[in-house]
Amino acid sequence: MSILSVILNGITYSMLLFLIAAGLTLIFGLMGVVNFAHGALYALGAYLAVSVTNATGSFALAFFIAPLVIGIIGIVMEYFLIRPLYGTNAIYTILLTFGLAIVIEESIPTIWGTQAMSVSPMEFVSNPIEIGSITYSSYRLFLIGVGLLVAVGLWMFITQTRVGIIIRAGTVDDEMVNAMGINSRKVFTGVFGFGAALAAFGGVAAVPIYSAYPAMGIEIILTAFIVVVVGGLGSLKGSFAGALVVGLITTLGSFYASQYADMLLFGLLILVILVRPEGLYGQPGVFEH
Amino acid sequence: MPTRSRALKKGVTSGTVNRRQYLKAVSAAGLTGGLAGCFESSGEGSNTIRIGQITPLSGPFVQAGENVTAAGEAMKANLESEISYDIELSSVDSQTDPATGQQEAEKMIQEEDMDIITSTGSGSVGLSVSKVCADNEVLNLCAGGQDPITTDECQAFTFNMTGRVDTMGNGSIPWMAENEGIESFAFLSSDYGWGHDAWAAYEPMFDNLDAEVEGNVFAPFGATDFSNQIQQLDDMNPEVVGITAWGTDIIQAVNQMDEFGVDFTPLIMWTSISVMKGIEDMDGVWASGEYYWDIEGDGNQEFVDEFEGITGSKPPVESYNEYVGLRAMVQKMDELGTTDSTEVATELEGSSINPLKGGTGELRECDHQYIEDWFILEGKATSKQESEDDVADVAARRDGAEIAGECRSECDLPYFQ
Repeated sequence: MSILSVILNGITYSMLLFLIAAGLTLIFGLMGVVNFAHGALYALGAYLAVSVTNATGSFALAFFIAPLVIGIIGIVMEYFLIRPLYGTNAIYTILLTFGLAIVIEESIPTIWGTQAMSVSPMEFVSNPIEIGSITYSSYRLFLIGVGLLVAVGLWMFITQTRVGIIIRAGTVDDEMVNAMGINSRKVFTGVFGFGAALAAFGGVAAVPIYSAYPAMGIEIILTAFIVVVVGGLGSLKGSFAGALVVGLITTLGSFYASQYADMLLFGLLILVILVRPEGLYGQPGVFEH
Repeated sequence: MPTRSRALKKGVTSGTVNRRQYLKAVSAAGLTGGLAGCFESSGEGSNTIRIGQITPLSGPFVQAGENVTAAGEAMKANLESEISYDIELSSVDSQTDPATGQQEAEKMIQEEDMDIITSTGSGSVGLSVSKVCADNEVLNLCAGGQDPITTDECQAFTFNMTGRVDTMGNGSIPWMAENEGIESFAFLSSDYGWGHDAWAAYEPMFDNLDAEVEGNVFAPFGATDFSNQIQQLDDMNPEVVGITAWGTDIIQAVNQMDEFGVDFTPLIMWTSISVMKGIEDMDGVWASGEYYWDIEGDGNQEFVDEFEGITGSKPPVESYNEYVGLRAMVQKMDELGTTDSTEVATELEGSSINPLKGGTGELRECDHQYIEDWFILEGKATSKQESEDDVADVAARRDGAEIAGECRSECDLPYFQ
């Protein structure tokens, strides 16, 4: 088997992790909220993708509808459930989002059943293609492209737009942002909704490869947190780098030593926390902020 | 028949009086008459058969757990009117954790005085529950158990409904080689006990076949991405790849094989309707297993109808195992007019039971393994399916007596004969 195949597999998984971790890190960086419900929103996005595809016959449409719906759900969650806890001990938001995760994940089998569900991707990426000496899945290459596009788009949004500048300022000092006359609460709500939409987008992207199944949210959230910690809490660049590191280590580990794959991942986490707790691109003292 | 004073089996303690024995003694002395509401006991005098189902009701195997619970309900619905006992069912979540399974089994036996305990969905849970049942001399039905449950961990009161890995291999590999002319195989196995046992069982089979085995690739248990493994297997150039995994793992593996456009044919070594329905395209996929809902037999349609009435879906293999095993135990209790575990186990050991699907149906005395016919299924293209459950055609039936692996010397059953 070509090493190119393994690396492409790793990058595919990395892009998926980035889509999930990006939202998580934005929410934490700006709002200081550790959103344990993020994995559940990813799962919800995946199941919505199946429903939209079955109803309309178009998987492509799911890329737009599912994130929109989950984004709205995220906004509602933040406004009614999380906002009342601002200014209180952080443990309360952790527990609340954990509880939300359980509620959402228990609701999924009630609505969609326990059977794993899959959909076919768009026609133009449904057949494998030849890359040199290997045959590779065109949908995974599409996923890599989408992940890179989202990364570039997010970077431009954060660095080149007024809203992005406000968000960046908010991650450093949200009191100053308020003092400048900007309603930080509205920004929080928007960012939470956007983060939720990103998670759902990741869920949609995952369905043709991994199927939608009840435990998918709880399985991905731990890895997503590892990505965020390794890359640096609150850093989008860090999420991208962290996703690459975690994705490649997981895939290469699975290939060369499958029985040690998990050990490698958590070993990496321990190393980062001990040597550089702020992560690759995080700011020292981010937890105090 | 051996006396009760001889050396007891592993896990069955001597010299202690458990709660069940105490209650029987008190009952025999007639002291429970006025206390019947407080000390209701099973055995002689009780008209209720209490069944406790320890099954995954959360986590990745929740679907199997729900199917098993429904199978219990179907059995009760179909059988209760035909027997002189009432049937009480109770299910608890094993959380796919052996310690939880053990705890729940102890609780069910000590607090609810269960007559039968079933455990499903996890080999390690099955082992831990069987030991508790052995200690307390309670009938135990195990489905989804690992091989030790019929070898070195076999217990007097446990009956195992799921085929061993050697049965899985015997059920499909020789047939595919001889009837479909397959000359090269490779395997994809989950990287935990069951997957390793399966590979260890399959590899030697090729010594007696006109086919080659190219190798085996392990995938981490619970893996979601099989891309590495699939590409490794494709490099081996086999004609068929046998997949030893369960549930969503199989669905993802087969869907991803299609995604990569591999040249080999997937063969699901142990299948179920719930797995096949999750696969995007069953065309070109083969599967094997002990049960498919569409098989004709004595009682299968009744089971399918009742199960479908409860769940809205056709029964998968774990439901079949639960239904057939429980049905056999309950019918035996009714036939004997007792729920006494020793009397019932004595009669069950080595007995023939109705498998619902015709062919062999035996609870083998040397290891309490359920011996049954096996089926090879050929997947149908979506365009040819008459319903969402019509995913495969039965290509062949394999005689259970021919494909069952031999009794192992590590198991010192029979106990009661």
